[in-house]
Amino acid sequence: MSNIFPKWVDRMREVVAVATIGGFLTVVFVVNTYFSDDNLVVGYTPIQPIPFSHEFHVGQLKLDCRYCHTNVERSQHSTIPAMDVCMGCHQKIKTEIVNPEKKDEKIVNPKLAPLLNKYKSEITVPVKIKSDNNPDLQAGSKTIANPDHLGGGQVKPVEWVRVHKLPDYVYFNHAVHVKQGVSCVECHGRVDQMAEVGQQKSFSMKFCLDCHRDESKLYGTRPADKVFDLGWSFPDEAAKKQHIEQHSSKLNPPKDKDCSSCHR
Amino acid sequence: MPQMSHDNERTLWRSAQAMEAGAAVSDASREFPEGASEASGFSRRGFMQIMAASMALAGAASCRRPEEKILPYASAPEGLIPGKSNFYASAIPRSRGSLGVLVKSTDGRPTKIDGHPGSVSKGASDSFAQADLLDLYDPDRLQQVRFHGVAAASDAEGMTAKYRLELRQSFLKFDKELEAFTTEAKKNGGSSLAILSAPVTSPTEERLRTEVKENLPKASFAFWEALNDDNSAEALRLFRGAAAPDARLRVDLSKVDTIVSLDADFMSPSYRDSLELVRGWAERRKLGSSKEDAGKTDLNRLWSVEANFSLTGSNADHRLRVKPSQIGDVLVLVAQKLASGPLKGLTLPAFDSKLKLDDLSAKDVTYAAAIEALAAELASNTLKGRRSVILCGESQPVNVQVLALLINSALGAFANGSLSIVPAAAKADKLLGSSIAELAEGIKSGRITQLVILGGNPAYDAPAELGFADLVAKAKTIHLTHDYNETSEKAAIAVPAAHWLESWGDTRCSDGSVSVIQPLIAPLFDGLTSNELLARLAGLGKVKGHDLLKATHGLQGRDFEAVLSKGQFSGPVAPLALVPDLLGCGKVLASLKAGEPAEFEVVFVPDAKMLDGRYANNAWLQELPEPITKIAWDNAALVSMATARKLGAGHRRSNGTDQTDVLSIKVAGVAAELPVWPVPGIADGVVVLALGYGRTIVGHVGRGEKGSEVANYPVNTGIAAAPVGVNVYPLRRSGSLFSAKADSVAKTGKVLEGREGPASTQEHWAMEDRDLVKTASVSEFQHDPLFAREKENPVTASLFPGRPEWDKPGSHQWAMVIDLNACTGCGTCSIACQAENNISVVGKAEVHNGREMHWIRLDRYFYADERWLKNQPESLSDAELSAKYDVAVEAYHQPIGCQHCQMAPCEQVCPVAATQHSPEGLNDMAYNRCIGTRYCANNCPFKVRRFNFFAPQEEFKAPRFEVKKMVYNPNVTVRSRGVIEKCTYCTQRISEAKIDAKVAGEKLATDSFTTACAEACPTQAITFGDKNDAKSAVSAKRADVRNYTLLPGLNVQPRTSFLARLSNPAASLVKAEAHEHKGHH
Repeated sequence: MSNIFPKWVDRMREVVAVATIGGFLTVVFVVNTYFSDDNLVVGYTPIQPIPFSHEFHVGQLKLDCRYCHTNVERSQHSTIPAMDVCMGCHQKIKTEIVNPEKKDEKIVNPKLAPLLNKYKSEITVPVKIKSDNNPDLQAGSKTIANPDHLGGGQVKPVEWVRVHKLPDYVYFNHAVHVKQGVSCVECHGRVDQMAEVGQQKSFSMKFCLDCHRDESKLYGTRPADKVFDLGWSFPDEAAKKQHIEQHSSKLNPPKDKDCSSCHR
Repeated sequence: MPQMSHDNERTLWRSAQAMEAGAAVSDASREFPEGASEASGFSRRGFMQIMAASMALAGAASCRRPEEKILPYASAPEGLIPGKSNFYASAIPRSRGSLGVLVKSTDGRPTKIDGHPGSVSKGASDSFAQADLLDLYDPDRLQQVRFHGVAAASDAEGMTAKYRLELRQSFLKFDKELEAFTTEAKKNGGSSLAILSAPVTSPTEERLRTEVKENLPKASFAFWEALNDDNSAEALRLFRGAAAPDARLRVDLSKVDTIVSLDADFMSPSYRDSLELVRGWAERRKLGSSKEDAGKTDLNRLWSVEANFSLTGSNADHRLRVKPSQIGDVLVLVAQKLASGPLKGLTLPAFDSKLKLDDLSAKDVTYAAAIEALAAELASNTLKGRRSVILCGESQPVNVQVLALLINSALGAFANGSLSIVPAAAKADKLLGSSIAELAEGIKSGRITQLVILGGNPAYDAPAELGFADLVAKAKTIHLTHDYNETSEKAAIAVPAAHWLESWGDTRCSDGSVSVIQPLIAPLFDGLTSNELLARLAGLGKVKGHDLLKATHGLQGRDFEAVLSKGQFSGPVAPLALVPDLLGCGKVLASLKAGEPAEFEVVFVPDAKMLDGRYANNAWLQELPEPITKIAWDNAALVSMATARKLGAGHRRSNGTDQTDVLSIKVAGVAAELPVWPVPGIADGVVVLALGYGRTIVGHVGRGEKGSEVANYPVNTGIAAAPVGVNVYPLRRSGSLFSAKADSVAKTGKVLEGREGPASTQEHWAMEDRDLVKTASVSEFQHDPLFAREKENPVTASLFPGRPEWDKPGSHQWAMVIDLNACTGCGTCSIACQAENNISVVGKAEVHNGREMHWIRLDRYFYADERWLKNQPESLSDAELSAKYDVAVEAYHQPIGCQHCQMAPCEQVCPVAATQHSPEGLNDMAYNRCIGTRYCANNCPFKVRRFNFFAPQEEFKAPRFEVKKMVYNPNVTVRSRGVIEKCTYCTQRISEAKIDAKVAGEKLATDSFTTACAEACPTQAITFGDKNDAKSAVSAKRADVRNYTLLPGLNVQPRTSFLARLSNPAASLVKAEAHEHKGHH
């Protein structure tokens, strides 16, 4: 009886075994490396309806974080500001700019338009119109009641796009972190240098536990008056060491490493 | 004696069937109820295919992160911090006794209701108060004004612009119709108009009624409530003389030594002022006992005379089972014995009771002996200055009620303040009111052609002989209602009513204080309050409830705000002096007659869950097992075991399916068919029927249907959609509202098979061991204060390492103690837990499968002394033995949630470490890690872990269900299909308290917060706290001599412990037994 399979087929077993194991390891490696939060989430910078620049407001104007994110020391949410807060300044400031096309005319500041236009009871929308002497459609405009203006001082809100998101089954509390001396910068990065806000850290469970299990006992904390000073860092190792010594006992630090601290 | 509590002498049964079959708890052959461990409907292979496909799809779909929007406030409301809850004082208006509440508001929506600490309930609440929240967000609520014969706008697509417009238009049409309606009424000065409602508790409503009277002077008012207190109100009126101002009785049990309940089931939340009464009872049931104090134990004694085996009866020290017609006889017999003592001078009519006094009322106790002992106790109490109170249930006729009041007065209950008379409405209801029978007469004669019904459902629950449904259709009726019900269907116009959580108003509580009702949310569906509707009838125009309220109390600005933060307009009022009208009473007593027992008598009981039927669409309450029968989603004809045998009917298991016989009960020519359910301890020849079931015009929950195609909730696969339970109102007539003599009771021959029959949780989750409820009488306790403690040292060695942090001083170690002596078994904790922890509802068919999700289950055990049972003549027939069970039975209640074992068996078997122990002693559960192997549930000796077979949140895919999302507590994860869950000790509350303390830079006050169950418990039987904090309440309770943990032999070291239950039988009635004990050892 002749051989149906040639001799080299005998080696297929080893080849297949090596290929399977190798393939599996490759898949694990690829998934682990490239599908990790570090890769997929970090750098997420969505386009916002208003190109609000933290770099300008915080970095240059030196506004305190809490001027807008008012509840960060009180609530689990830092809360994005009510539109009243924006309007507190922008009712007057930078509402108009010179029309780049017609230098003698002023127009609504296009960057702020999505905000300011909401407060107008009527808006002008472009339409194509026909006139008697010109049967072709021509660009024109007409004034209509503003659908975003609800009357009684109420307007429809600006729809910001969420940048930092934790899963629904994770309960994170801003207030307790800030009050314990964890600066904004630890999770959000140098927001004061961002023209557009993007995600800087992975926000994975490992990311949380890296601090909560920090063996140096710094736990990402700093002196209470430096929490909102994003550019601050310990001047030297001695200061850091002193801080740890002073605070690690008082902070009675994040022993909350158990599941129910975050998962309820 | 102490041995009482030992295994071999104490056998507990979970159900009547098990008791008869001799199948004690320890015989549990299956660890889980059948369906609770196996999936059904598809094969394992099919399941794998579906899961594989969905995993692949999920993988493909999750590559891109979904964009999420954040919407800020345009201008932020003052004082609102997103993520922080606010609490508002409000009140639940009830004609059975209003309840001051504190409502939690999270991001602008109410998410939890609890009692107001300053109210009569002292912070406790009942299951109705807890479940009212679900009613607010009920998608089946009436959302539009509906006109008879006009098709309703469809809400199938949810709140679309078109639907909103249709709602708006229906209200505009109503405005026109109402104007025509009032113009019509005005023509004849209102003589064609009647207004029907429940008794009024609101001062503003009283004011508006007088305004209506001014606008329409001849308009008439009628009052109806199915669970009314007409008898007791009339008795109080006769007792005080007709000229006395309107008032009501207030009872304070907190210092009472002897409580006699004459069919007064005051522990059921359906009873008037139940929270106040049960708390008073518990005051004298709780004892902080060290070994030395045991001798001084002085509990109150509760005697219950009843036909049903009620919650109160199950907690009574002595229980007399009597047919409803003879309950009054017992009181007269007691009164006769007191005639030579405290009741000297009272003339009782000649009385020849047909009660068989030589029969046994309980183990070794004849009726004669029990009545003798009770009378002796009452007499000696008056001599010793101890307090006694007789509570007379609504079922009792006026003359019995008057006799009870007279005895109470003679025993000094009024003099010592246990009973007091609180002025009722400033302007008496009587001034404006008539009965529903008079109203029905008016409509029949054509005198009344216009009817306004404020709330309620009289077409469903009015006395049967009135035929009220037809009368609603005959008159031009406007029905203001929360949901579209049997009455709305017949009415010309059905108007959506605002829920109390959406309303401004005021209501009078039992102590005469006037509480404010303030809205937590704007009306979801533009509903009106009855005040607003009355104002329009009064010709005041469209006035807002807020303005009506302010006008009543004449308050503005800061004064009004002060009232809102306090929750009360005015405090308790001083009780009225009592001047009994003895002459009048004498006449009433002359009418006392001995009861004429019929072969079969029927008792109509207010349901502990449906009340009068108004909660039929409330899935939380429908799924709560009834306290004694443990039946969820149904009512049944409850009979004693002997009666069941006599009828040849029962509930059995054959060939793997449950079979339940159906009884036909005929009263006054009308028959109702209900499944039979034997309950040991019900009086023989009595059929107990719960009101409030069998609603037909009701939302999807009450109809037993799925809410929509995509909703799998309640999941009723395998059984036909049918109204939940059977309506027994057609059997209920004026004059026999609470009990009636039956023409006949017989087996129909029909059998309900499998899941068609009542779904009872009583045999689910059996713990395969004994000695779970430790109990002793007071004298046994005094003899051996340490009876609850283990006699042998339990094994403490373990292969698993301990955790040093558990005993580290200064660390928080959470623990719970449940005082079985104060627990009544009412089930409020179960519902409070459900509301707090987003626990889903599964539906009747799945309860049959054992898939109910309650994190706290109320175990109810039947106990009958085996020695006594065995000590009977050999020749006892089965029927006679059944009768013995009926006589000897007692019932115990035990709430069981996760015991948070320090050596938790569940943690050791989880393959993915989804359940782990926290350093603070919590048995944590990380849902997102759980893969659903259910090994933990298998390894849990307490059977407290629940598996999610369903994803309740899927129902939100139906647009009309969106509103229900709002009921969820945002601080607790909504679990998905395939995940195990269980009690967490309200870990979200612990976290919140710890965070708040840290943010404030303070040390955590460990008693400053508690779990949802402990907060709600009407008797404060549950204590939660830090056992490492020596000053905490829980530490004190753990040091109590009665403290014990379950199943100590397993060395799982539970953090939840129990305080053993004590009973307080009269010494003269247990003497015989004590001797026997001595003889035994």
